Amino acid sequence: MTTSDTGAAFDTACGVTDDGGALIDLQAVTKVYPAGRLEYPALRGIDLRIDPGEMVAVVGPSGSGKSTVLNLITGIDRPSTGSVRVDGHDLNGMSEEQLAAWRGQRVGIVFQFFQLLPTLTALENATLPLDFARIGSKKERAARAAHNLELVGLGDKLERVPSELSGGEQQRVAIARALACQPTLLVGDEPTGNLDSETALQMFELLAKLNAGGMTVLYVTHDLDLAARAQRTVTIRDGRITSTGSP
Amino acid sequence: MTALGRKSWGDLRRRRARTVFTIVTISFAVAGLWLFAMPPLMDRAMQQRIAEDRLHDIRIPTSDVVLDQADLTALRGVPGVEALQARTLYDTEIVDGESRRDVLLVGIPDWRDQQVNVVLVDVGHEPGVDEVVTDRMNGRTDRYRGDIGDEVVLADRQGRPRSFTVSARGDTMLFSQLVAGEEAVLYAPQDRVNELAELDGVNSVEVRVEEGANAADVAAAVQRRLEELAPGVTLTDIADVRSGESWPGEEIFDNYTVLFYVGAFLALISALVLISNTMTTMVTEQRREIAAMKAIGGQRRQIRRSFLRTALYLGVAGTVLGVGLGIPFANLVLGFIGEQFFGVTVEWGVPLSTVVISVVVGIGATALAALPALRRAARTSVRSGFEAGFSAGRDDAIDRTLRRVPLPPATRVGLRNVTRRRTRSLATMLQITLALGIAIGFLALGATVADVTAATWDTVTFDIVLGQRSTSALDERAGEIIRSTDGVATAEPVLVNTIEVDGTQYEAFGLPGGSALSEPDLAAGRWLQPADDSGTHDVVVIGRALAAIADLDLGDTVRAQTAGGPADLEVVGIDRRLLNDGTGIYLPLSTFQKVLRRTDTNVYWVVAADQDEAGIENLATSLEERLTAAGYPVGTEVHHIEKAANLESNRVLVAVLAVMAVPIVLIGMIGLLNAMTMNVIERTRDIGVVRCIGASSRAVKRIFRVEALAIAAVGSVIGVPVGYLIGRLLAWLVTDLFHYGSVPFTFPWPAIAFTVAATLALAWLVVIGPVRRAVRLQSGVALRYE
Repeated sequence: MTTSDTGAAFDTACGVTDDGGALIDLQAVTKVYPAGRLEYPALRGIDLRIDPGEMVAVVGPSGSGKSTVLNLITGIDRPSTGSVRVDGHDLNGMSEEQLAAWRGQRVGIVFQFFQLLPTLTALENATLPLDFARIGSKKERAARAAHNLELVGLGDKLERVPSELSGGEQQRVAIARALACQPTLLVGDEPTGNLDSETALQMFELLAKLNAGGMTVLYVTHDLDLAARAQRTVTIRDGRITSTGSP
Repeated sequence: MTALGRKSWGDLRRRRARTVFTIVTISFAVAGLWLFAMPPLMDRAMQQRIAEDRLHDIRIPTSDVVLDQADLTALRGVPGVEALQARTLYDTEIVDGESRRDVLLVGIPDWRDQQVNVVLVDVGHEPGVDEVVTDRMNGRTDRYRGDIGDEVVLADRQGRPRSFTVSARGDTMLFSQLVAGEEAVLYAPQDRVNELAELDGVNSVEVRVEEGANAADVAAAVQRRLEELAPGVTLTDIADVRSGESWPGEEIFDNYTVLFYVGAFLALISALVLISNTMTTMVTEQRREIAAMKAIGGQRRQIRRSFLRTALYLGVAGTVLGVGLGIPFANLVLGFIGEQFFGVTVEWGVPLSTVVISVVVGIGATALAALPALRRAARTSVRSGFEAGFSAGRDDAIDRTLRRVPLPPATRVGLRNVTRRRTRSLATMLQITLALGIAIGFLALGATVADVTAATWDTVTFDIVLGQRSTSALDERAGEIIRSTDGVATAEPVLVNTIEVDGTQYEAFGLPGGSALSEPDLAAGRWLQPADDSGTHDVVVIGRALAAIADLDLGDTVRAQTAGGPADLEVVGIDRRLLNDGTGIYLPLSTFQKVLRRTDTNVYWVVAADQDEAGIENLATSLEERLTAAGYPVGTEVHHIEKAANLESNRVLVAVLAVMAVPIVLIGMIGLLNAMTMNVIERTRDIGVVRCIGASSRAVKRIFRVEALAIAAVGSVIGVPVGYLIGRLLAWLVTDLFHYGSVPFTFPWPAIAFTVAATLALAWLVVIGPVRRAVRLQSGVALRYE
């Protein structure tokens, strides 16, 4: 069974509709977080549209709501108000189970702190989404994961555990994992935040390469140089989008 | 409160589940300590009861002797006598259609002026001419279920039914105990009892001695005076002299409480392991905070004190809860034991000494268990603390081995997670090992006791015991009647009486030389032989427990006190069997008759030709009827019925022991729940991550279930041999306490397999709560979890 087969089955199950071409469509979205006895409004009403194949950087100062936008787009968080449609799915209407399954198959997420499972090898970490989605046989999954690790330059470190890899290498494993199910959308929350500048550049070039192959790439960064390399930059300040356009 | 003080308080509120588990665990251990309250409470209850009952200090069983008021006054005038009462005790039967039940009828000379062994009436009125008072233990032990207003039919000496009405319920310390072990008890006017028993006088003289008087001396003096007043009176058994403030069954109770103490100690050890584990976890997860405190000037002792304060809060809370649990626990267990085995109602009590022990141990032991964690907190350097994260994977031999094993993905993750927090996993395995080991140990002890008891009963080769009732001993004519009864294969006369050795009374058996019905298992020496009947000196074979207690060996001379006076007996054999708990005394029938100055016997052992149980019971009934009709009223004991009753009684005891093991097993399970809750909490972010990459809630649950099961499985595997060792230790303790010597040890594999399976099942269930909580979190909340 291929990713596209499972993807189609998933779409049917979740009631996919046509969004007029947009891959990501946020409308009047707000997000308020409880903080002890207080409430913190992370987003104060944003509208955002991203088309397939775009490479978009989300920038803004600390606490502006950048990561919140990503979390809403990936279904990690739910909006307080407004609608979030991604890949034809209304995320509000999906249960946690459905979101988990959808993410595993359609969205690749790269975290700032890698978030690899420490007791699994690089190959096993990269295979995990395929295992969860039950795509292909064991051999096929391992082969695909190995291919992805090869793609990110770690073909000779399949059996290393995360503690035996450098920060950059761990992040590459994380990218390989994110690519496991051939997602339509790759999302990175400060994907180069913990890397040195040279490694960060290598990482970005990898993302650009994936984008060139047709994958939609969305990443949060505080690095303006990296932001400048995107096709479009969305600036968020105090929970509002203040500008969106080419860098 | 200082900031550090608030921190200690905050530590508790931070991980509420863990705090609750730890407090509950400490409370279980403290509650277990309340087993130490049982001896003083039991002693208090017994002393109170002794005072209320006016329990005798001396009881002299006599042949039928007529004592008028002047005689009684003379006996009461013996120096040292505070109170004296004489009564008739009559062994008879309750007739209920076809069935008959043994009952002791206790005569009350003057209901309103009871001097010794007072019958305390719960409800009802004193009995009239055709009325009786039923002992309240009768109904509780199913000996006799009649109540006020019911008719009860008793057999007189000729076996004729005589009808009475129950007028009241009451009890006495002395006679109520018989209900627990032997027969029903009813109380009736003395005259009525004599009428049924066809006796003229009394056969039991009961004395309370003045404070400070020597009971043994007073007993001897009363006996001498009795012989002066009633020449020809004989003792039918050795006088029962109670020493000091002792109470009936005290030694056995003390022996069993040792087992309870062992249980409490084991519970405490289990709890300490869990507390240590909890505190270590707390310190580990706060390494960054510790580093921060040190970076801003915090000193080691201040940091240690902060965590010690947290531990003490836990200890105080656990102790308070534990005392609250321990009081009802100890009192309920003691109440059950008192009623079931001693026929005594033990009132609830709270000994101050136990409160003090609970507080000192509960709080002190918690602080002690926290010491390793405090040390770790003090030693955490600023740098290592700031570099600390959740534990990474290692790459040692265990991890490499695990990686080679092909497993489904969720199982693979779960199994590898066991090695992630190795110390915690090992500590949890240890708790499960302890819990399971202790449970298995108690199971093995129970199985050993049951098997030894059954094996002991199996050494008895006769089917029926016929025992003399009233004063009609079983002479040769009675023997002829017995042997000529249809269905009797063999019958042997036996003389049963009490012998006192070194101040303690034991049951002795006078057997015909070369008795075919006693198959000894000799540890040393020889059995009784026909030649011993006419031997030049008096010989005896003793049980191995008695040999140990009295430090006797082959060739030693036993200076025994009997109802007929002192006797010197040479030990020629030591019997390994555990009949009479290994304290049996066997001597030639002729020797015992000579010592007791009688020519007859009081018991016959009978072997039935038909070994079918129903056939044996019919034969017993037939023998009883024939003998009673011939003027030899007898009581019967059927071997297979007595065996079943004894085994049932042992099961109750084993159940009580099992109750002791329950808190320990619970502590083990709490330990696992605690550890798994912490694992789930710590890996909440991991849960968020795997949910982000497509894991279903089922997969997440499986990860943690596998981890819990793996920990439980390793703990169980080690727990079985540990249980074997603990079982061996407990069995040795019991046999040592009762001087049994070595006994075959039983390790009940089926029960143990079930226990292991139950442990694994519990481990499966225990993680339901924490994992359910974890998968319910939204991924974003999980990812942000700290």
